[in-house]
Amino acid sequence: MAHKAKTKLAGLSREITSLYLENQTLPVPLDQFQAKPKFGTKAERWVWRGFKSSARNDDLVLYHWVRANEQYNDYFYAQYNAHTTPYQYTDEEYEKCIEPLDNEWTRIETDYLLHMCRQFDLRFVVIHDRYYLHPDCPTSGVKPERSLEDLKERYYAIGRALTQHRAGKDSRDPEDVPLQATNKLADDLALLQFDKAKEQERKQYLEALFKRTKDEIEEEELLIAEARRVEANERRLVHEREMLLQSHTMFEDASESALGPPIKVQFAQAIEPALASPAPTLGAESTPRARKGSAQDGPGEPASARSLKRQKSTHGIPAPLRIRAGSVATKSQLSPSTKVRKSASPSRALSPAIKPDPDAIPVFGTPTFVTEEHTAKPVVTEVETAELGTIVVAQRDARLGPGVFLRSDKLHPIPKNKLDAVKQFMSQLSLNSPNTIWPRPVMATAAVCDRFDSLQSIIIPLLDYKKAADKLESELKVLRARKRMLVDEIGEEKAESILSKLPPLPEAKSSSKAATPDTARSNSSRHQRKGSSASSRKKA
Amino acid sequence: MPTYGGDEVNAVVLDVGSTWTRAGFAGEDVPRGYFPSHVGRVGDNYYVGDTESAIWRAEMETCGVMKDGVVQDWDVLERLWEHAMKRLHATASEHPLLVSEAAWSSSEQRTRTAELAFEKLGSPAFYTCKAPVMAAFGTGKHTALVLDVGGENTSASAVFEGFNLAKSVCHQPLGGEHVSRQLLDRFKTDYSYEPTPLFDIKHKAAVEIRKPPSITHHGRQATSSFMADMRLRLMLEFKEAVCEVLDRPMRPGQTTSKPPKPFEFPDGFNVAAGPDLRYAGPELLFNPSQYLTARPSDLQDAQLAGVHELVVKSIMACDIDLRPHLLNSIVLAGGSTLFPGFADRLSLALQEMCPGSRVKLHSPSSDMERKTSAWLGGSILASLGTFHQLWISKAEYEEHGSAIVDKKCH
Repeated sequence: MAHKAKTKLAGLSREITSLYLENQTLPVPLDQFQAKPKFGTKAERWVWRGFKSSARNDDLVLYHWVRANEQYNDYFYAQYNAHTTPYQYTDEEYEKCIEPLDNEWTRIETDYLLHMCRQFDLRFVVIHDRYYLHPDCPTSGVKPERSLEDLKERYYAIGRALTQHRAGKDSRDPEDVPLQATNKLADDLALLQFDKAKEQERKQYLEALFKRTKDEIEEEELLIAEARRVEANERRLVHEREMLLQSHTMFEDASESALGPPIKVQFAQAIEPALASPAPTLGAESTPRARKGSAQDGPGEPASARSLKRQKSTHGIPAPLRIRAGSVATKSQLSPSTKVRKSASPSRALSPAIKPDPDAIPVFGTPTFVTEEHTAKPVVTEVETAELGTIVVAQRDARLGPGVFLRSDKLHPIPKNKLDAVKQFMSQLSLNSPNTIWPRPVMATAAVCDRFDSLQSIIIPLLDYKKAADKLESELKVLRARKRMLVDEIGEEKAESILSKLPPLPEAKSSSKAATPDTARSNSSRHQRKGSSASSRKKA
Repeated sequence: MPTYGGDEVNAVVLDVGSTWTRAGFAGEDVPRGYFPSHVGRVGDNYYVGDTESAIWRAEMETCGVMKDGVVQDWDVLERLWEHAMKRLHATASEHPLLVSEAAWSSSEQRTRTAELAFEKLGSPAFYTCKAPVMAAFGTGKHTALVLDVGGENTSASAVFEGFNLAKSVCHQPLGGEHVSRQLLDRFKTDYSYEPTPLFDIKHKAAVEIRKPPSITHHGRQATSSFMADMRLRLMLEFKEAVCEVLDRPMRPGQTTSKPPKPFEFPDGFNVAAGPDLRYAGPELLFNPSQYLTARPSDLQDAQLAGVHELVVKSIMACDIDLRPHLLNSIVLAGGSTLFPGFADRLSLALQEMCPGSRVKLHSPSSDMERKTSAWLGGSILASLGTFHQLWISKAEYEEHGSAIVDKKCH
């Protein structure tokens, strides 16, 4: 094959051939290297010439070799004579803004400090090192034992004072000063910030770090290794948990389909009232109770057995496992928890309300998020039996199906289309979920699950609100633009007259009414703020 | 214009140390002149240079130029400078002059040096630079901690962006010559042998190991200073050939698995140098309190520290922010750092003293570069195009007087 490829193909240029034949080397232009010197050209003349440098203050003439035909205005390296320009002040500036700063510093010493800054180009390490050894050090007026931080602090304080003062002297009206200028001043001042105490503290820490003994370092390394191990363990645990969850979900799906219609019917029944409107939820709750009551009215034995059977099929709890409550829960005890349970999930009631008619203003159930009520109280159902009297049974969420389940499974599912948005929102709240597919609390205790659920149920309507608000806003924009266009077309006065004839808009009122009362009652401030802002936007 | 930043103005770089003087043109990589700082003197006649100072002359005294790293004898210094110029075939008045000075040299020292340069030599321009700064430049660093172990002095000092930090300078009058003297003492006490320098050997015969040499003398009477100097030079050879630093602190009476190393002196005396000669000598640089057995009179009460302690002391005198940088670039300079194993031992000792930091040693690998690293740094410095604005010109000197040296050289 390779041999065949090597045969030259006629009619192709060399470049294309080399592309076609991969293993052939591509032509690369080489630098025009000449091993042999060019003969016959005249040797360049170099001369030993004196030069002066503008970087020097005197007229010292040094000599070096240069090409005879080259002329320079200045010494080439004079351009590298760069200096920093530390702050300088006039007498007036000193008196006005530097003197009041710190009475520990005399004018002589301040002058000397700036002189040193200039000489050593702000290398504070060197300035500090030479502070008392320098030949220019004044004999009096210099406080002994200045630390590096003292010098820095003074320098930056001077810098700040001068910057502020000079900006203040700006004769322009402050209103006229462009924003960049004020920003620049703030930036300049920020650059000149120096916190002596913090710096000293930092150095103390560094010093402590530097002075660690060998044993301490070894111990520290050991601890770090241990911490790494713990972290790795945790990661492994989370991973395992996720695997477990995944396998469990698969199993659940399968069992659901296997169980068939009866469960589905139950599921639909439980959901249906919630879908209709949040108000009748209590009514829906009362339905089974009413049935129970009717069962009691009828002939005792078979009716109770039937009801028992029914409960059994509904909740999937085998009879021996039923929890027997020592004291029978009264209705008043029951109702708040059931109420919470139901009302904590307005999402399901809401989302369909928005979906069919996105133009309508979403109407929400009463979002009562009373955190204290989110206790670990199980949702219970009373079951009447002939032998045992009334039994309180923990109510089982219908959609879970029979068998063992995780408590986090009881969380209300998030609609698939909102999943990403909710996840993002939760990560903004820095709620990290160990499950990447479905947000779940890390430690799924009953209380945590409850709060997690309620949080979800806030987030979902919130997102819906936002969506609706955005839509309305864009529509409003379009309509405004259209109105402007129309007004332009027919003229200002005519438009005015037409508008004045129009009856007042009833919608705007009703829409604000619809949104505000519900949200006003809400205990969640976030929800409220968002809701009211949405409504205010609508009003606008 | 060249892009590498260099511009030769034919400056002369002089680095006068306590035992050796290095002289050469800036821009070159080795000094053309490398000769002893000890000069011979008979009356007013000075004999400078490798051979001149080593030739036997009756009544010739050998005198050094430095004490504690600062110039003691200005006449000798002048002779050394003159000799350097002669070696370079240079006229002093044509070349700018860059000289080194100890990190702890006083203002008076440098003004006198400037005086010597301008008034005696007639240099057109002059600059003096601290030796550690030059050594750091010679190793290619602007921030470093320079450990310079010379003939008579050991010093550690921090250099920050080309500035020597005065507070970090730690030095002590202990160096390679003390190792040599101690070895001489050991030969005298343990082997009852005192080496005879070449000038007094007329004829020698081979002898058994450790047997006293069999030589016939010329019978030349030498002054004690000349004799001592010649013996030190013999010991220099011995040190270079035999001595080593152990990688762990040496215990008294320690034996090693390494075989003894044979060495023969010019007079025929030969010895298989065991740990007592090989390791105990250089060990005094690390552990002077224990291994400096016969203290010279001027060090009788001195508080001496090991080189690693000196380094740490110098580092601790610096700002905490600077310390990691310094520990990460420790530069070795001076001939006495050339003992095999010196760098490893120092690195280990520093690692133990500063366990939390990264210690890294930088040292020129070639012997000549290590011996002349300060000169090399000076050579680099004086051939930089940007350096030429720093020279103190003769005109400036005449205008401001010698005080300008303190102002311009820091």
